[in-house]
Amino acid sequence: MAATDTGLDIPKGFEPTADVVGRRYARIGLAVPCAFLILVFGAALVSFLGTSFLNQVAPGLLEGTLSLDSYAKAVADTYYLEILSRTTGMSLTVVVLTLSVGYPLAYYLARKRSGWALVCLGVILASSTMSLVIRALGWIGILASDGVVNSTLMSLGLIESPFRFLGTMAGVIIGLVHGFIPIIVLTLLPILQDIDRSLEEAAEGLGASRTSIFTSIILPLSLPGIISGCSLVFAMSMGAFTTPALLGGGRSVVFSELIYEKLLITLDYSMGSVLAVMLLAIVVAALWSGAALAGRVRARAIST
Amino acid sequence: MRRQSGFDRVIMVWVAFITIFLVSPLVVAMISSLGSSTLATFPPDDFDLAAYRTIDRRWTESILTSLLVSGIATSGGIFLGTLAAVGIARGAVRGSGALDVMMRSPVQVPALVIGVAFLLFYTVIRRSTGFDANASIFGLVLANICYTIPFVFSVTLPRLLAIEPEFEEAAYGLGAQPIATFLQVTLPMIRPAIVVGGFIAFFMSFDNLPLSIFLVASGVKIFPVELFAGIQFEVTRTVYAVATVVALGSASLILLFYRHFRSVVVRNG
Repeated sequence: MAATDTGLDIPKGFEPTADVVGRRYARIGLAVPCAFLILVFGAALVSFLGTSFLNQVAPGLLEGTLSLDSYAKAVADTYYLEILSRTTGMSLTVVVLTLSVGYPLAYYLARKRSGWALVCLGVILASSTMSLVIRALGWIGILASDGVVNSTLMSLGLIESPFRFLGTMAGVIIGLVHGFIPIIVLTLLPILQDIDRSLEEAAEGLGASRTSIFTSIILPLSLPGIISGCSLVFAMSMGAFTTPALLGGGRSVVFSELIYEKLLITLDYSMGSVLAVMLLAIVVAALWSGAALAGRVRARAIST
Repeated sequence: MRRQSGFDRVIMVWVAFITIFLVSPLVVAMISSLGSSTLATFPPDDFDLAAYRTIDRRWTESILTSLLVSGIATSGGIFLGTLAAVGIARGAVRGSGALDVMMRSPVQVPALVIGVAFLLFYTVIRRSTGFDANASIFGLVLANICYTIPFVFSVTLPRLLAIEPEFEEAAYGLGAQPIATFLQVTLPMIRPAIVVGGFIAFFMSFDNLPLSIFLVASGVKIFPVELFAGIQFEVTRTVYAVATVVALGSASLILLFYRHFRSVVVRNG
C-alpha cells in the first residue's frame, strides 16, 4: 500500500512493524531539508520569476509594476530566436553523437569485467568529475590553429592551412560530446547490466547473428535508458555555458551566453531573466517528457 | 570460452579509441604545462617546470577559497540530503513522490539558471533589507548547498530503500532508541553511498562556473571563475600548470575512493 500511496517503492516491511517513534524522528528530520529548500531555493526561484515580469528602466534598475512586456519583446526578437534555434540544433547534434559514441562503450562495460573494462570505467569516472574549465583548456591545446590536430594534419600534408575548430560550432560540439559521454554511459550502464544474458545466449544458441541479437533484444530492452539518457544530454547541452563560452570564441554563440551577457554585461535584468525562464522551461520540458516517455516504453515492455 | 566475433573486436577498438578521446584533453593540458616559454605551445620545445614556480598567490588563494566554499556547501548538502533521504525512506509520509521530485529539483534546473535566480534573489534582499549576500562567500555557499543536496540525496535514497528491515527491527526489538538505531545500525550501512554522493557533490560544486560566475560580484575570487578569466585573457603556461595541479589533485582523490565509486555505479554480478 505504501507504494501506491507515495509513488515510491518503499519496502513493505517498514510499514507495519517499524517503530512509530523512529518514524516520527524521520519526519522531523525531513522537515529540515524541506524548509531549507522552500525558504532558500524556492525564494530564489520566486524572485527570479518575479523579476521576469518587471520592466527595465535603466541598467540594473527595475520598475515596480508587473507586465508581460519583456516576454513580448523576447519572442518578437529574431536575434534571440536565431540563437535559440542554433542552440537547439547544436544540442540535437550533441545528443546523436554522444549516444552513438557512448552506447557501444556502455554495452562493452556492462558485459566485460576484465582489465580493459576496469581501466576504461576508471577513466570515465575520473573524467566525469574533472573540471569542465580544465577540459576546455585541454581542448584549446588540441584544437587551436597551432594545436595538436592541426599541426599533425599539416605535417602529414593533408591540409594546407589550419582548420578552424575554435570559435566555431565544431569545437563546441566536440567539447560537449566529450563532457557528456560519461553521463550517458553512467545512465545506460545499469540498464544494460539488467538485461539477462541468458536471453542473448539463447538467441545465439538458436543461430541468431550478433547484429540481429542486438537489434531485436538489446536495443529494445535498453530503449528506456536511451530515452532518459538522451533527454538528459539534451537538457544539459541546452544549458551548457562553460564549454561554449571557452571554445565558441567569445561571441554569443549559444543561448546561455546570451543570458550571461544580458545579466552581467548589459545589466538588463528583466530581459536576462525572461531568457533564463525560457531556457528553464525548455530544459524542464525535455527532462519531464523524456522521463514520461521512458516510463511508458518500460511499462509496455513489461506488459508484452 | 566463447569465440571472439568480429562484432566484439569492433567494439574493443571503439572502446580503446573513446578512452583515448576521453583522456586526451587532460594529457594535452598536462604536457602543455611543461616548457620554458611563457606562451604555451604544444609540444613544448623543452622540458621545464618553470611554469609551476610562476603560480602566484592569486591562484592559490582562489583554489583555497573554492575548497572552502565547496567544503562547507558539501557538508551542508550531506546533512540535508541524508536527512531528506532518511525522512522519505523511513518516515512513511504521504506525497513522498512529490518530496522526492522537490529534493532532486536543484539539478533539474540548469546551473546557469540557479546562478541567475540567486543573483536576483540577493538583489531583492539587498534592496529591501540592505544585506548583501554577495559581499562574502555566504551567498555563494547558500546557493551551492541547494545545488549539492540532490547529489547526496539521489545516491543515498536507493541505498536506504535496499536495506532489509530486519536490521533496524532487531535494534528496536533490543530496546535501542531511534537515534541510536540510526547512528549505529543504519548509518554504517549507508555510509558508502553518502561518501560517493558527497564526493560527486563536492566536485560538481568546486567546478561550477555557470552557477558561481553570477555570485562573485564583489571581489570574492574562486578557482573556476579565475581560470575562466585567465583562459579568456591569455592561455599562458601558468594557466596550464595551475590546471594540471588541480586536475591531478581531483584525479588522485578519485583513485583513492575508486572502490567506493565502483560499488555504487556497478552492481555486483
